[in-house]
Amino acid sequence: MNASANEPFVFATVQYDSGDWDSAPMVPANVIDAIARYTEIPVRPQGVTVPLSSEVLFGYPLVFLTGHLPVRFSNKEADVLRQYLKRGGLLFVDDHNHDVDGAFNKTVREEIRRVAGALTPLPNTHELYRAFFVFENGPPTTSHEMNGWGDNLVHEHLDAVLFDGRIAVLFSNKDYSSEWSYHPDNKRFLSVDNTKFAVNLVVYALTR
Amino acid sequence: MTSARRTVEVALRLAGVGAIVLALVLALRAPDTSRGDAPSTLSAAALYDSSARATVNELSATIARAALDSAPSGVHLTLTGIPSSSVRAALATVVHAGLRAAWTDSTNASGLAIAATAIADPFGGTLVRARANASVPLTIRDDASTLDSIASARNGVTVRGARLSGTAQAAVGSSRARVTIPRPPTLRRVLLLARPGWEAKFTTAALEERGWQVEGRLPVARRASVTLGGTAAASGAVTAPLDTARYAAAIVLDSGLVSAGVLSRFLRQGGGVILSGDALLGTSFGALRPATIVGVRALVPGALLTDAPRRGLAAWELRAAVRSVVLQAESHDRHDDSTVVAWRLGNGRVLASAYRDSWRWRMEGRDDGLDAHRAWWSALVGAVAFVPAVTEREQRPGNVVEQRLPGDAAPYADLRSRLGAPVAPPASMRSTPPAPSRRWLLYLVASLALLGEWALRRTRGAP
Amino acid sequence: MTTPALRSTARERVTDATSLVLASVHRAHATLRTVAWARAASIGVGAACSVWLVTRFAERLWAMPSWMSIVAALGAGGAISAVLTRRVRAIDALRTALWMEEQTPAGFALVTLVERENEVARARAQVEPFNTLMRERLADAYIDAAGGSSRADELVRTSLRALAVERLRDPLLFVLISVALLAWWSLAPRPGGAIEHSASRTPAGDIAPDTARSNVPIGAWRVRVLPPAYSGLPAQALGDVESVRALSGSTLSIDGTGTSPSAVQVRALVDSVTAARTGGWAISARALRVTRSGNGWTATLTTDALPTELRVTRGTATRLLLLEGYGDSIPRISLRLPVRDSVLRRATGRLPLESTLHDDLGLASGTFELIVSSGEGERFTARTLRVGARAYARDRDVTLRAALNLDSMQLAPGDIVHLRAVARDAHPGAAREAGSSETRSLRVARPAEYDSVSVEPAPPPEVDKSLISQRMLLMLTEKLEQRRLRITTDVLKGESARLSRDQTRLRLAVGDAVFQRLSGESSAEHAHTAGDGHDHGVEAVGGKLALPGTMSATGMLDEGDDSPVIGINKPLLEAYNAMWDAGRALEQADPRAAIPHMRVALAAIERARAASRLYLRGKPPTVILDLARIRLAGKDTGVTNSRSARRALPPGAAAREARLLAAAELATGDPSAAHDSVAVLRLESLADAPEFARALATVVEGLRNGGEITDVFVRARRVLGGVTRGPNAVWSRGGPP
Repeated sequence: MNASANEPFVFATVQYDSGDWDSAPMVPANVIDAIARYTEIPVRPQGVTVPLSSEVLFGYPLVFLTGHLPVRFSNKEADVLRQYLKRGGLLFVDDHNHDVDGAFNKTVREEIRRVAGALTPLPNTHELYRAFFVFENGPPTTSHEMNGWGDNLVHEHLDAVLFDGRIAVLFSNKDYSSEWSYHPDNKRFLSVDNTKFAVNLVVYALTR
Repeated sequence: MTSARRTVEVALRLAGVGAIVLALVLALRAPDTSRGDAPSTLSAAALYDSSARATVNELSATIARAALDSAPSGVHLTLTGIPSSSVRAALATVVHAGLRAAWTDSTNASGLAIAATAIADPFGGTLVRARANASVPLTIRDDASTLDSIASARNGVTVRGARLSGTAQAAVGSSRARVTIPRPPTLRRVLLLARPGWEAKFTTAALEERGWQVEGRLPVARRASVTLGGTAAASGAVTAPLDTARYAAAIVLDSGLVSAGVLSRFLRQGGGVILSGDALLGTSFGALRPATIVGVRALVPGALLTDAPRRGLAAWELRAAVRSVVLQAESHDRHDDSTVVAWRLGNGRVLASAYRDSWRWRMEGRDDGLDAHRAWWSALVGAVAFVPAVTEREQRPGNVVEQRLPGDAAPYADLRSRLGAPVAPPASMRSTPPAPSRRWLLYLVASLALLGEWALRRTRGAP
Repeated sequence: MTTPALRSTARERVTDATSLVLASVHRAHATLRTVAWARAASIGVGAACSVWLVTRFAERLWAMPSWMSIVAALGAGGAISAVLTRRVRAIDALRTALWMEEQTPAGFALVTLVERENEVARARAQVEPFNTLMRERLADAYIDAAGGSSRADELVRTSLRALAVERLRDPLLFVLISVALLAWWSLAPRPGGAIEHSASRTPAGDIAPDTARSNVPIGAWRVRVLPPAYSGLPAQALGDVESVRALSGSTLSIDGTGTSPSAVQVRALVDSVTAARTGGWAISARALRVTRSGNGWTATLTTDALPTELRVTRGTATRLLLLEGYGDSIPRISLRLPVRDSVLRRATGRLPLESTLHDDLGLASGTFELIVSSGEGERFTARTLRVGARAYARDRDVTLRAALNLDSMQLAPGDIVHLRAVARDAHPGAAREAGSSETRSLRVARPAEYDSVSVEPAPPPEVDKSLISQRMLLMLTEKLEQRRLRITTDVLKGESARLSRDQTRLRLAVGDAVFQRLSGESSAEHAHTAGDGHDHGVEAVGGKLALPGTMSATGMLDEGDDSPVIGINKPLLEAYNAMWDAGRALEQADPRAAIPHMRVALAAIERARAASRLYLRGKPPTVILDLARIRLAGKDTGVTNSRSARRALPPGAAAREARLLAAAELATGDPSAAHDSVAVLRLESLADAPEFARALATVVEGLRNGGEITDVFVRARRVLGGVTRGPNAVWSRGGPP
């Protein structure tokens, strides 16, 4: 074992009962690749899936949730998630539909409101946007937003539930799930790496 | 009839006059009866009241008597309770005045002592410890109420109170030891030396939620880091030097971030260092750490949800060094595993914690794990934190006049130092104290007799 | 010889003089007797007071029962009075006459007259006219000596007055002085320094009877609560109360008497959960308007769901009304039909729907809500339908039933229907949340899935069998424990041994399921148990399985000559260990000790069931990343940034303890103020420290009734947990808890 045998960071995707939780299977690999590329943070090469209805969720203080279909938490899932957020976990939700009128967006917002409180717009000057790379204009725009998919809107803000100034739930309508759904080897074909924001998110989660 | 009346009158007159004469005789004779070496015993009941007026009166009477005698007598005290500080001071004065004083110990409070330490915690708190040498019940109380009591004072008792007021008192029987509750100290910051990870995140969170100010720098990439607290963050300069002017304690969670020399200097100034988890690996802190890693301790899955949650955390197996103190250990079937070990090094303190991922206690434990994790980390820092010394005067500014008479915290020792060691009760001592003088009876008899005689005389008309 | 006329005038004169004189004598006699009585009485009273004074003084030197002093005083006073009244008896008319002669010397004429009068009175048969002449001459002699009858009278009167003054002056002075001394002694504060043991005094040790209560200047008030109209609750007229429980949105009015109060302050206390999240107590305070009504005043307030304190102040007097507001909760719903999620081959037919709705105040409406999503890949659409809507008139418990006509919904293959029941109560709020049930999903299978094996979610793991068995074991053990007192030891041992054998068999079966290998084999074919010679990387420590520290969180091991373990089902591992403990307890014929371990095992198996449903629709594509190659290959680097510090949580318990102690100190001097502050503290603690609030309720009760409240204070302080016994460590700073 090496001198800093600190536990590596593990990227966890949430599996929930009602819907297609596994609609973005390439996102974990892409995010892990970005972390390894830019930081010295030890990271596991493979992500894991954690069910929302089990207390196993507590072992992963940063989790990712996405999907297209309506999301309805069962009582057990809601309880687990409430406890998880109270203890200091961070849930990152991304609307894979990119549709404010869509079933995912509406149902997830309602479920989050029941569990943690109402989502409020996160100001673009929040420290999340300076946590590693600096994003002066807030969350980076995704190609899916600009190409007219879904609701054809470019969302200026992310939404969040803050517990005493700390992000507990981060909600994105910008469809990062689609943006980051490619094999990381293909990054060399991109002029601008569009996964940098994931690094900010992970560094924010690990240090705040 | 008249003659009977007259007889009665005469009798009363004689009785009255006789009583006055007897009283006069007794008054003139009084010094003789108290001459000699027969020791007088001050009533034990009078000796442990806090106002001490009657005792001082009796003592001064004893001194006055002694002054009139050519051979001053001695005083032998049988104490069933340690006298209060003013009485002890009076006794010391009496001894200094030349009176021989000896005492027999029936107090059962030999070695009674109490101490109060302010806990280094932003929420305040006081640690009160007391013990005595006998197997009798001991009670600790503060100004407001009783705090705790144990059946045997020999075991001693430590009470941790979040907010105690005024003075703390330990009582054994009727003996009391008192100490003033110290004011909470001003605490400095905590420096965190770790790499970004869940352990660093949740340790910082726990300490900050408990009121500590945490500073530090988490190295994220070669040229980027995250700074905690307000240390020269914007310019990216190095963190402030590690010394006790700014920091009370340093927490090291990973190795390779700080040199042993810096920590040694900090320790020499009186600071506290916590080496937790992977900081104990390697040889860099060899001389500093109070325990060494001898293996990996097996964790018990599911223990996080039980009453012994730390059994479910990944931890090293430690061997405590000589001279170190084991603060926490987990009991096994075969042996006890030390998990938190500390020692004093120079002016400072070093603590080693075996746990590598204490954050799981907060995240994966029970509902009370959130608070328990915070309290545990805060107590670890409090166990080593540097606390600037506060003089007695600063403790209670402006109340110099009210300073307690010395010796209140260890009254038995104080009594011994003033009166010497206790002796066995003397054989010649009367088992019953001499009867208090009954002279007032004579005066009463005299006045009643004379009054009666006068009444009889007047009512029959004679002048 | 006098003429008859002269004789008659002489006779008249004689009669006048004699009767005058005799009357004067009688008057003097009566006065002298009165004076003597008064003197005796006053000396007696004075003596009694003095004796009482003496005994009170003596009480401080020697213990004396209090009745002794009274007896002594009364005895002395009575005795002295009795002795002195003997004088009264000695005062007869003769002596009176003698005394009068002393004032007005008349050669014993008066004495003789009175003596003769007495003899006349005594010997009635021997009345002689001679006496008349005698009387006349004697009376004349007296009057002449006095210098006239009126002057004689006046002389007597003057003398009597002088005598009374002289005789009564000293006794009355005596009485006055002794009474004054007695009064001063009783009322003056006792000087300190007496020999009494300084018993440890607690601040609540000697509370005076609660007289302050009766002096509340605000006076009694009438409190009325009018709940909001939608709730249908009746209005309440509560009278003179100190605390009120009211539904949020009610109108609370206080009607008081007297002049209007100078201020009515309302403080609403934010609950601790919100306080913890926002980082501190936020007490919003505002003042209420007070209106005059009739002879008194009225203040009105609309309540909300927070603990609130109303402080009515008039001059220096204050009174508190504590309001526990409670909110109207949203309806609770459970979905009965359909029982579970399902996959349909064809969407036809009628599906019965049923759910139970419950509300605390009354339901307004209920319906089944369906979201139908269709699409695939990246394109999904959804529509919302409502079925079976019903309106209710404040029913509390209803069952909502409907039938879903699947044909009318026009479902295509691949569509998913999410179904739940939703209900609203009568609360008129615009943003009022609706209560909802769990969601069931119905999926219409695609034709491509018909032949696939993995249409259904992963088959239930074999531990399902164990689930029933473990539950059965638990029930059997509990039954055995109940019967324990009625059966013999041998029977207990036998049954216990049988249960322990069953438990062991179950434990071994669970042990098989604990490990999952990379090759995908189920462990049933390649059975492993602890201690079978293979290196699983798991140690058996004292019979249980323990994970070594070298393993990381996800359970991936690289060692072992078998295919590496990629997943150790940690919940099943916990179940294994708990079953081991249970088995051991049962072997020792101690079913009671086994029951908690069995419950732990059962809970762990439940968790394993939930956690084991991974990879529902097949495994995700494996992307192998070579971290060594990509580490720090990025061209950009981040910036150093600073983290904002977390806010310290309010030290709730410490602040509460400080307030409790302050109230305890206040209790000796001002019990009503202490009562108020403890009542407010109780209200603030209701949300997050209910035990402490209960203990404080007893303190409030005690303060209201007066009497000894030390014990309840100590208990409340203990309950707060501010005082704990620490370990007797050598470390002076105190160690971790």
